[in-house]
Amino acid sequence: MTVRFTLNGKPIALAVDPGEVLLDTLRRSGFTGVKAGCRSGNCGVCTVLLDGRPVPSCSVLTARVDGRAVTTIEGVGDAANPHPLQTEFLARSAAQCAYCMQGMIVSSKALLDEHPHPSEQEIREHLTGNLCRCTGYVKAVEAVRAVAEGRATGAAPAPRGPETGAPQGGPGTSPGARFHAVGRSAPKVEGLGLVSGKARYTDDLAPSGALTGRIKRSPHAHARIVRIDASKALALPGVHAVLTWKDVPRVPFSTAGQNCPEPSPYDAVVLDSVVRFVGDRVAFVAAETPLLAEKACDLIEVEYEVLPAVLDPARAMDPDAPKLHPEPDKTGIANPSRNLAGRVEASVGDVERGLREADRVFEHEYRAQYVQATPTEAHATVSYLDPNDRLVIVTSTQVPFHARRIVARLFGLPISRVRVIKPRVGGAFGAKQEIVLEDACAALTLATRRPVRMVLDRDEELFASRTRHPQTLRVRTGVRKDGSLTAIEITTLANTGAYGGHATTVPSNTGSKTMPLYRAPNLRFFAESVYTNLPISGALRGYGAPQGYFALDCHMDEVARALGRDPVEFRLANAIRQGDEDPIAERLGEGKAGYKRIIRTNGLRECWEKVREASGWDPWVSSLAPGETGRPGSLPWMRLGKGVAFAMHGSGIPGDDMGSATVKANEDGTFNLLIGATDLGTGSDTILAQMAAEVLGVGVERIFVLSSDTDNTPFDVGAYASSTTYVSGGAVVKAAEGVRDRLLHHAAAMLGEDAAGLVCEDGAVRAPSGRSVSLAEVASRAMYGEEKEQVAFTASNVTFDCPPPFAAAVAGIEVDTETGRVDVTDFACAIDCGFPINPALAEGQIQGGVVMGLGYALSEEMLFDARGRMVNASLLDYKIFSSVDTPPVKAILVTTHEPTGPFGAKSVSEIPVDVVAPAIANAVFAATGARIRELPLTPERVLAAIDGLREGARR
Amino acid sequence: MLDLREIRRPASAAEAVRLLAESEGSGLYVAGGTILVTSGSRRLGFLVDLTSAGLGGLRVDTAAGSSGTLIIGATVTVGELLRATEAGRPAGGLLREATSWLANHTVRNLATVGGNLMAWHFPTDLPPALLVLDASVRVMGRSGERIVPIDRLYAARREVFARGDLIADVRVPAATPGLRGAFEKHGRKRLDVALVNCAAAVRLDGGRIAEARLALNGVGGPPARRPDIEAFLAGKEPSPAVFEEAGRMVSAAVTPRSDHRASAAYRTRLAGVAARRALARAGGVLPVAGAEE
Repeated sequence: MTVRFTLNGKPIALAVDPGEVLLDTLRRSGFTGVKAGCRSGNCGVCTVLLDGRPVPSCSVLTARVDGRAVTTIEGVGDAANPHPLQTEFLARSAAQCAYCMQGMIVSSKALLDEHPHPSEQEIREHLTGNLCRCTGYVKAVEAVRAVAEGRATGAAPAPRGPETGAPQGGPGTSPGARFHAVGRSAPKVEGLGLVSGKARYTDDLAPSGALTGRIKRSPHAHARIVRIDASKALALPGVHAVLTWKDVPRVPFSTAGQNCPEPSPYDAVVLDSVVRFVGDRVAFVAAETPLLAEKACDLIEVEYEVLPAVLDPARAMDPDAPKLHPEPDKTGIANPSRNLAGRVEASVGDVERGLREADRVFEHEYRAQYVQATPTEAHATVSYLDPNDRLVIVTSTQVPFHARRIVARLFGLPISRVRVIKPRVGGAFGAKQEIVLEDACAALTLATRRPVRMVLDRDEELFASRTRHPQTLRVRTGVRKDGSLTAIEITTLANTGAYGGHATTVPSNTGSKTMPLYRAPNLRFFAESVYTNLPISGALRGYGAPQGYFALDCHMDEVARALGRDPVEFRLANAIRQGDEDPIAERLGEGKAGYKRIIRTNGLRECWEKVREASGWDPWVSSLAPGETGRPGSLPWMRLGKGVAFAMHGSGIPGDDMGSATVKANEDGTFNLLIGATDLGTGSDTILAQMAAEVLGVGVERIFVLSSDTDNTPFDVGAYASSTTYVSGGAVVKAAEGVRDRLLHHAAAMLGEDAAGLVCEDGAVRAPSGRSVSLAEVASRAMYGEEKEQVAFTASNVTFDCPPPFAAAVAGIEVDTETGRVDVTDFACAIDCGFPINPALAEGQIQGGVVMGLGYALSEEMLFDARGRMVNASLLDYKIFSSVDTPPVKAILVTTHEPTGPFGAKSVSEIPVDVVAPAIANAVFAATGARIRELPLTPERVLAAIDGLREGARR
Repeated sequence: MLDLREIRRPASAAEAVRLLAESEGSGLYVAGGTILVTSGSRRLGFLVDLTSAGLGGLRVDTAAGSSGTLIIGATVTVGELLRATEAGRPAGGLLREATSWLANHTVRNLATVGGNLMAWHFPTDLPPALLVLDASVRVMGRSGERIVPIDRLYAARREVFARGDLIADVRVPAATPGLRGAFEKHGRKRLDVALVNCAAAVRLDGGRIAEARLALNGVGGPPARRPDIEAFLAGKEPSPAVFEEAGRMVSAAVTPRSDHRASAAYRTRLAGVAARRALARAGGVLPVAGAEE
């Protein structure tokens, strides 16, 4: 049927299928600024204006827009003629991955068109249909307010946000120099394309004619495939391939994208004759359309022998528990006959002796739940064969080089026959540090020799991508009368689900990230990671530390209150100090021995001072006796409370992570920065460009970033472990210095001066004499003059240091004591991330990390029925925070100057998540007297805890 | 993408009814479509789109004898209802308060009032308010047109609503002067399917409760008024204790189900809290915390 409507002001007539939704019509017509997120009206990344009002285009049949007017992000404005909202979102660094921002800007435009002067609350109410996982909504709401209040920065985005002064040490800094590029809130290098629907994400890059790939999934938690028959599916016209376990090579591997030698067990194969969780892979299908692919999946006949399943990690190691991975070809599993995927143990001193020497011993158990990363862009991969028959994989990944290596091995291809391209990524958070679709998509392309695109449905993203490890943690401490700690022991049982990618490394970080924060002479960490017939655990922002800090920093709160001490002073008195050595770093590395770690910078106390000011921390909270309830709130049944938490984290994986960068000079005095580092929306492309610009003495606009493409950018392990600024940044500095040195050499010849006295600044090379020559002239000489050369330099960076950022946070909450609902009224988080290269982007990391942590603390939980099926696999029922649930998070940067980090920088991306759950749980205690040791603090769980107190009081 | 053969866009409700009848079981009505269109790719024969069938618009019937009934077309969107000044009138804004809890901002611009009433499998937010406001719906179908009180629509759905019937509009009578309403919704987060929601309206006369109305949704069975509570409150002096007792009676009477969103026991608690708070607000009593159980 033909539908006629007005699209971005112009009449259009399109032939559509009656069942087609507007989202798909727009995308296939080239309006790919409209994104697909959940296809259920909950996330809003597909928002368009229908007759001027925002609607989710996934929920509109195109046939029904006949005669109406549709406006997409492309119609709101473009780089040549931007809408003030687009300019402002960019200028304020409101867009991180920006996948959701197209919809958010469209919604905001409708608001301002109707109400030019909305309040902050009205803005937040208006954005309830636009979920964001990166930003915490703070900067987006500020941007809308700025436009509404006429405070917009105008058409040319100028650097905004706090400036952090000059760096005072670390690679890249030289004494006496001015600093023009780092320490400033430069707008993102992607420019206005990022906020006008022009940025290309994986699914936007599918070649025309690409087949749609789809995975048929297991309905059983544990079963053997006795018979599988694809003949009916293959008979369906338009179905090009069905692959089962018989059709793909059996090569055990780990889906975790980690460095070699890979620390995780090789317990997965591309397709297997045994399925190990509800949603496990049964077969791959490639068909002409998504609908056909789905039909083909339904037509595959599978006969299962259902096997006993183990869903409780506490039972997984029982002798009679069903075994998940008994096959002899699997390697690296700690003990397959006990379902033990990984095991970590590390000690300092003697914990038992330490506990004996203590005046009091405390022991508590904490539980952390299954949660999922929920990037607004689900996992997506496109693969095709290039004209030379090389396999090209375009994929939304954090680890392009690991993906290349793993896929090549799985299909017996030389590395040289595989090219992996990482385009713009719509959020990842660890879930994309995994081979989730790349192997499946590649298998279908190899089988059909056709381009194939695969995008996970939202429910698949939730139950079949990767999750945070649920853990049960037991903390024991010994404390002397003077408040000093004699021993800390953390033991944990982690549930790695059906497969063990990150099975050892995540739990080991639960210990290594947390154990050094509070000083004690005797330490012990013990972790076991077990298989269950549930979804696969993996990397997720914080990587084991959020579970550890929930346990440790709640425990510290409990100990301090039991001793009648101020919980903050108790923590500060015991906290690690500058100059201390991390006592456990050498014994507890990344699933193996680690490296010596000296704390060279520690801004924890200043973080606390800043957060105390910002949060209005009130001593009454800390003097609250157990069982006493907090201050009255806005209504008689409401109680107010504040809770505190501290954390430290790391910057990369010492001795393991490597970043590389190539800087190449062009004859006009601009530079290409080629990096294997993967910007996931975090802004690392901008930060790394700022570093190069600083060294080369040019504006950031002269640096053109390419990240990342295994054919065209040098190796980088990828974006994980809070490594990019610290590790890859170090490589960028070295590469830029290499280029600078060659430019100075050429300039010296041109100026007749000694190169040693020359500096690059303001786009020129200057001599002490005052003479100068522009970089364009210098670069032109190199290219066309007497000493012809392409000025370029490639450098790598490996570090054996892992300087921790520090954080202090205060959560302010209001608890409805009759329903158990917890509202977060305010949240302040101060972080010492060394020298912030881009303060606005660092703030964005904090705000987004805190809001992700709020979901972890209060509302996110994957729930399963008795057969292991996830029962809340939608964004309606899996509750991430919306604009109206989220307080305006106060992000505070505390500057230190880390001597080992580029320009003094440390990491910032993961640590904000660490502090949230303990701060919230400690606040709930302060408000109600109820100590809840199980996440998330859902209304029902909080009410049950309050009930428990009331019963206790009656007894 | 829906597996859909055809979509028909009739210009009148009568034509819509006829088209669906002709489909012999393979057709479905669609209004906002927010549930149907996102329900996956199940096979559908054809859809009869009601949004061009003349069922939009919102007006106050000022004809003689109508006493100012608010007539809300079935395809009026939730967004339109929220913006309509007329919708703010009944019982001190009860209808608007309930509407403001519905869905998220973008879905509101698609979701319709009629669709909300027909979403049987969710405890949606409009039914309790409309029950308390003594609303009725105009139903059209093969057997003609009739006015059905909204409590009958839920309590006796199979009797009053046949296959092929559609809701043409919702009629909210002008509320009794002095009737004041309040709406309470409890979900896991602000944006949620209600675990329990509740509408109350109270009219005071001479310091006593002349009339109390209460309806809940999500507490087991269809959304319904609570005549037991209403009778208990009639004639009483409004006080924290009275509403506390009403809430207690509600919790004792309801039999909600457990699901992945909440346990039955929790919903039972919420029902009492929601009823007490809504009644107390409607009854003009300052908020007080319930006595600890």
